[in-house]
Amino acid sequence: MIQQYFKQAWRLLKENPVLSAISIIGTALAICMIMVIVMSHQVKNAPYPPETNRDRMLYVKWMSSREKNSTNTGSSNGPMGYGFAKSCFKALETPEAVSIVSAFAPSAMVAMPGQNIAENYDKMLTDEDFWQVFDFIFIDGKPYTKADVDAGLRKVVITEKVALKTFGTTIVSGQRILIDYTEFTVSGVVKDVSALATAAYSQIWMPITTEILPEGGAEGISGSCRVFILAKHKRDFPAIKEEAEILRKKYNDGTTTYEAFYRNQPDTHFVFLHRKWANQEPDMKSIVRQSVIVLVLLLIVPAINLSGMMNSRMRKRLSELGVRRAFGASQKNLLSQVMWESMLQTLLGGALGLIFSYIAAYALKGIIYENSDMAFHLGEVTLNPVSLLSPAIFLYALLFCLLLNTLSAFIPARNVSHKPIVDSIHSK
Amino acid sequence: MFKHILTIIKNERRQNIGLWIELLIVALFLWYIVDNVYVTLNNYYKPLGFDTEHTYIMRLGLLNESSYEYVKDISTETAVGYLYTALERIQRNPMIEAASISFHSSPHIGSNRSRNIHRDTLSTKYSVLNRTVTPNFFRVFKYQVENGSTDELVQALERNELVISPGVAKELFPHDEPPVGKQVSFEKSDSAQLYRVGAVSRVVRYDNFSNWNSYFAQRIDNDFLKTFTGEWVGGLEFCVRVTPEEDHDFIRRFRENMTQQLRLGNYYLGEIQSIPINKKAFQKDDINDLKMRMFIVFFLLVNIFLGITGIFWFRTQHRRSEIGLRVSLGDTPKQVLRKFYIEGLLLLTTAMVPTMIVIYILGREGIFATYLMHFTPGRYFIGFAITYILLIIMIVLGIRIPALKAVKVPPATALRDE
Repeated sequence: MIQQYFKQAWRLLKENPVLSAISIIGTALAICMIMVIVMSHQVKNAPYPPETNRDRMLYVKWMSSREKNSTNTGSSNGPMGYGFAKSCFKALETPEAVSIVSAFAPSAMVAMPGQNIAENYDKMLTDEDFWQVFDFIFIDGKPYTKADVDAGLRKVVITEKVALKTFGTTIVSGQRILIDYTEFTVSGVVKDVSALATAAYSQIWMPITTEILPEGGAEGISGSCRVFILAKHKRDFPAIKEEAEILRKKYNDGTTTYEAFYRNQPDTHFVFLHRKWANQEPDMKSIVRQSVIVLVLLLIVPAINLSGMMNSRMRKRLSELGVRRAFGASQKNLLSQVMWESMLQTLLGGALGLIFSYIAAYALKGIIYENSDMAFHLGEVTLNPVSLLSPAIFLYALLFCLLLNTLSAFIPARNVSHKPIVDSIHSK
Repeated sequence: MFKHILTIIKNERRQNIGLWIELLIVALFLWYIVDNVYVTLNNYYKPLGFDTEHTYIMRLGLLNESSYEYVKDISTETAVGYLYTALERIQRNPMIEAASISFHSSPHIGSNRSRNIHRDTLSTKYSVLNRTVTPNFFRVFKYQVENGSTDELVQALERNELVISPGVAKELFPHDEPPVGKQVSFEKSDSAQLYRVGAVSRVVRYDNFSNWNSYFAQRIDNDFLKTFTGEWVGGLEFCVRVTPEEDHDFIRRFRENMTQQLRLGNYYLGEIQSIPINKKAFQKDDINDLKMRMFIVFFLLVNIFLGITGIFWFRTQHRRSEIGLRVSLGDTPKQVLRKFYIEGLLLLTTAMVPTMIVIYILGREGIFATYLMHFTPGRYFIGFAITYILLIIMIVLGIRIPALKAVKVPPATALRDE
């Protein structure tokens, strides 16, 4: 029976190719749009190495300070001081690990000892916990340790690309390397990091104690550091925020002129991505509202389209359905036939939509995956966009379209089956 | 004829109502997005007031104390001397047209400093961007005074006077008072240090997506540079304008040429970046936003096209006999086609009326951003004109294909159906 329905449905589609094409393309476009929007969300929020723990991370990107008990409403905003980060965040006890890193160290000149030509690479200064917060894949060697950082040992972790360009091989741990005219020892080599990993990305990492950091504004509050916190569990977030607030008050009690305030940080990953400026909080409510409006718009317009088309198509077939009823088809029979028809159409639309999504994933790469933060880096966005086409999301989109198609076919079909047969046959 | 078409629309109301609602929703959102794109682009193409083509930004690095080349005990005075020597050597390179040192002043890096300026009882309402630069900064980025001269700006800084933007001039010197030669201060007290205004430049905007344009420029002095001789040296921007003929593979060639010459004391030539490339990176988020909006416009238009084609396909097939009758009674196919067009356009126009009212009310309530442009009648109607034209194109295209097919059927065949 089902096979026959499919045959019939197929004939019906072929009978009016342009029209069938229009409704199939309509379905495909709707699916493609949903996929594109979900993908652009996924790429920024889904976990993948080295940022595998995005869901239990908290971020403090910027720090703000103002004069205590003053009428001066002005504030100073930017990265925080290393000492400040140590006493206000490193001292936290609730999280699993807290890492302090340099916010934007200038890129470094890298060469082999004795070599004259130096190459320019992105550099990041971190402490030892950085390697615990993020999940790097080591090809060779290991990260530097707490002892290394405390002693300010000149050890360095480099990416595969840096190792290959400088030494011609990736097995280089223990080798000497010149970074900004200073000799370092390669401690480990990691797989290249895509510039999409906004927090962990760099090409060279070295202990934060090997350089004198530009520091000291506002009684140590402002400086050049950022903090990444890895919670044991998502549900610890409120506890961590509370503890951070206590440490903040303690620090502020010890200062004379300035006090630190956090503008609602530490941020979750989603908020962190939208925190662009140091002197204002991102308006998350309006950001979410806007995304929802866009999503609804992108769903409603094709929905009206599809249901309108399906509806008029059913009306045109009224007489046909009437004839079938006259020859003894039950109401159930008619409805299940309509169901199968819209199913076939949606499946075709879905398949086409999947192809569209692949094309869009490549064609819109720049819009979906890149942002200002990444564009400043020397590294590349190395992520296969197709890997983001999540089957689950595709299935949801397909289900949505199926529901839409079926409903818009079902209602007129049901109306027909309730009408007197004579009227149906008579209609044109 | 109008009345006749209206009757047809009324007769097909069950189908039309869906189409009408779709047109209404799409027109509403389309206006919103089109308006957004229009306002953004209108602002984008206004003159920037500076020129970044063929410019580069470079920074000096400070050697690590553990470096084998590190020199101990360099006095601050000597270090400041090195900074000037570095600037001089860069300037002397034949590839370079102009070079300057600045702090938080180079365009498209996102770091700014700002402060309020006062004059007697008058103050600027918001804080004003502070450009701390050496005089040649104006040559690097081609800032100009109203008559097009850059030299006047350079000379003003060389005299240790301030350069201010027209916005600041207007706020502090109302009633067309000439600002040049007058005194202003950065603190609101009688004992505050006074600075002489040396020149007023043309409007200089922050970037393509903002209309922030209040700034003042001040000459970098030795005391200021002294605070940057240590680990902060990377904060100083060495900006250069390269002669157009030499602007190819510049970063590599300059590095080869100058790395030795710029090893001064504990300084070395650090990163070099092309400012146009930085500009692209800096504005990437805004450009992406704009592209995404255009993409949504495109998606909506395609949907309208599909919807219109779909509905008129049925309609024209359904009314094939009517068309046949019309043609056999003497209507030319063109006239029949026109009737269909008018039908579609009437539908669109009736959907546009409530849209215009809704948008007007929302605009009056201050829903739309007026940061770049006030909600003027011009903005309101330009948005509608564009929306209307886009939708008309889609409707005409959508009707054309099915209607043409129906009209081409010989009248006899169409009539026989009857």
